[in-house]
Amino acid sequence: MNSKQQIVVELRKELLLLQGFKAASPDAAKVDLGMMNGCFPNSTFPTGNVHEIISTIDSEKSAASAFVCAVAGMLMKRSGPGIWISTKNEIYPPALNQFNVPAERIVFVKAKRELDVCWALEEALKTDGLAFVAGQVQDLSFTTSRRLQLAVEKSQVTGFILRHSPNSVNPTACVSRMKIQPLRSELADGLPGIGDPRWRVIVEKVRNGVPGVFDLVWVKDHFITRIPQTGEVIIDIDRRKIS
Amino acid sequence: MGKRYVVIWFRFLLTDYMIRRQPDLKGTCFVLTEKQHGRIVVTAVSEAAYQKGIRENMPLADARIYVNDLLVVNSDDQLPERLLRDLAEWCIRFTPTVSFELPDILLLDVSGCTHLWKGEGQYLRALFTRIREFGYTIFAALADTIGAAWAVSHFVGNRIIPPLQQWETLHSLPLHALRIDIETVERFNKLGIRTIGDLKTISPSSIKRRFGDLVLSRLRQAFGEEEEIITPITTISPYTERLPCLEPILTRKGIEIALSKLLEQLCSRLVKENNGLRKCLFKCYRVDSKVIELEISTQRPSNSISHIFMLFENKITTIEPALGIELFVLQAPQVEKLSPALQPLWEPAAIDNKRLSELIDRLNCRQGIEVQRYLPAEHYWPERAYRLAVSLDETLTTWPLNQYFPLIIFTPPVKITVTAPIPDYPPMNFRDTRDTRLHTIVKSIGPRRIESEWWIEERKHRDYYLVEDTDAGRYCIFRVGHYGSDTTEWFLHGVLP
Repeated sequence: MNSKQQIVVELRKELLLLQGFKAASPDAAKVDLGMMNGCFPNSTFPTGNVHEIISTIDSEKSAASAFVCAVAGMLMKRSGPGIWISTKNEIYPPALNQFNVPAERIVFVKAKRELDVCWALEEALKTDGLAFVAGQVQDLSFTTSRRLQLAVEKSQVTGFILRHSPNSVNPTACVSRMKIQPLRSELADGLPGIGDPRWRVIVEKVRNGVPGVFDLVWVKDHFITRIPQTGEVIIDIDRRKIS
Repeated sequence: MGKRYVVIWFRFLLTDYMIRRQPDLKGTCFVLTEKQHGRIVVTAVSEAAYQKGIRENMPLADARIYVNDLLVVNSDDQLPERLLRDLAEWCIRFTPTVSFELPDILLLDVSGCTHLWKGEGQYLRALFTRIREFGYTIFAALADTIGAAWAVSHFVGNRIIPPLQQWETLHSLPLHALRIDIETVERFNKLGIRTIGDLKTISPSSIKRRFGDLVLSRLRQAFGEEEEIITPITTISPYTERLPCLEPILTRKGIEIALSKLLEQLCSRLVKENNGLRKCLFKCYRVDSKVIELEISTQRPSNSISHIFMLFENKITTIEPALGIELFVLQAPQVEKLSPALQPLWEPAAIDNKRLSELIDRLNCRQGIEVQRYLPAEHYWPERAYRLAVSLDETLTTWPLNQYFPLIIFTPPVKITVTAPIPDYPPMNFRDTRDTRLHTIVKSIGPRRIESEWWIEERKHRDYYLVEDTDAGRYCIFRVGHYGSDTTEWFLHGVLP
């Protein structure tokens, strides 16, 4: 006989299926975010979906791009090339190597207008076999996000939408919304200098999951995650409703 | 740079051709004849017959007086044109602009081509000897104008006229050299005008009054005062499909049907030959004799109808049918062997290169979108450490491994103002000139000096510092030149992850 907890877990999985959430196939690329996995349904990072990442200042933008690169590096181990779409040539290709992203397998698409970025995003997300598609747009309407999510459901490509200083944080059809802030780096034994990249990832909303706040350090090829103490969370996330 | 032309005169075009076909004719006297007004007239003479005194336009009966056992061959009207066209096409290896003039002239616009043969002398020699090897007797001349080159080739021989020196060569030549008909020349001769130099002394207005426009314009053309336009031969693309329409097409739907029909024909041929096109031209000939051209290109050879159609689809709106389109032509000027479709582009890959290249073609086709891919380049300065990949297939050397590369880079670097304590120490704070935000620095690495690559350009060195501010933003900043000099400038180059 199964225990009560096991039954609840089973029922939850069934519910997820009924809600249209497909469990990732076993041969799909694995994204390991350490403790952060817990906030996603089935404790796995939902690949084949569109994620939204919001930044306001340059350092946050860099942190957000870096987080996407780190996840992309894990995705690209098992699958095809990636596409990075933006209106500016800002990403520095040689830097991608530190996130295990082979930069020669990334196709950079530069569009003149945001509208073209959205068009290119949809075209790219429709192409199955790509590891990831990242797009930098400022504003994303609900309709646009729904189109992107629909495109992804067939092709099972993972999409990231990097929104830098959006005019309004409107509801979108993306499965998760994250905010990534850089944290002061630390070196062992208090040595001077700059250490490994450290960020605070604020999962503001995630479909079928539990939002939360995590501190991540990127060490060589993996994340070291920890959940910050209550006193440490200095960012005011209470103002926005977390559902 | 002025224009330069070569005129090649084939002295015995038809008979040389006959000798080429039947080598045992060499050295024999033979003529080509044609019926004119009830008598047989010689139209072409072999070299041996010419030396015996037989000339063109001589009745055959007269010719037989000179040579008893004269061999007679019937001539073919179309032959000269066919020969000259073939020779002109062959000459495209020497210059892209080649034209021919019946009965026996080839015109080459060689402006800007001769340096590839290390000078005009070498160029003309190469051209001359190669045509001579075919067995043709030719006279070739190079000059500033077609008129001058024609005159020199016919009346002087193989010669190069240096730029702007037509007068020195032409003034003593007879008036025939101007390409004017014999009657006019004889009328001039009656007046005692025998050379081009004589003609130049008469005022243009009186020539025009007495002899008409043609003489004057030939004179001007010879001296480069009037431009002469040649219509170059065009080679037909081997992959061409045509669709003439009974009624002019006016609608978008009609154009789409025409395009897909042509594509079907072209692609089925490409599939059979296992080829794919890299470039495709869609030409619409309008009723008002205007031609509209659309061009697309693909990343890898493709023969998929739907893919090529999609690339054209966005551009169809730019076609203005006006009164209607009566002829559609589809050409594939660049065709390559199809590379194996299933071979993945970059290992490991879950996507085959066909789908990826089709996606890139689609993106590339849209206006305002650029598709780029980067490979490492061996340079020290960060902004030079990568370069654009030339093709989709190009793969790489290794990327440098460095933990301290900025992930976001500013091109050009952003100017900042800095407070730095002592030379070579990292700054205490910096202010971004874009938003005047003050960043107070708490941690830093550096300096790392990168010299300018003197073999590319002479510039001042840069000292790079990696700094972290109180808000945990990590930046890459640098100073140009030595500290303390008047021209010291600080820049923000990028943001670290």
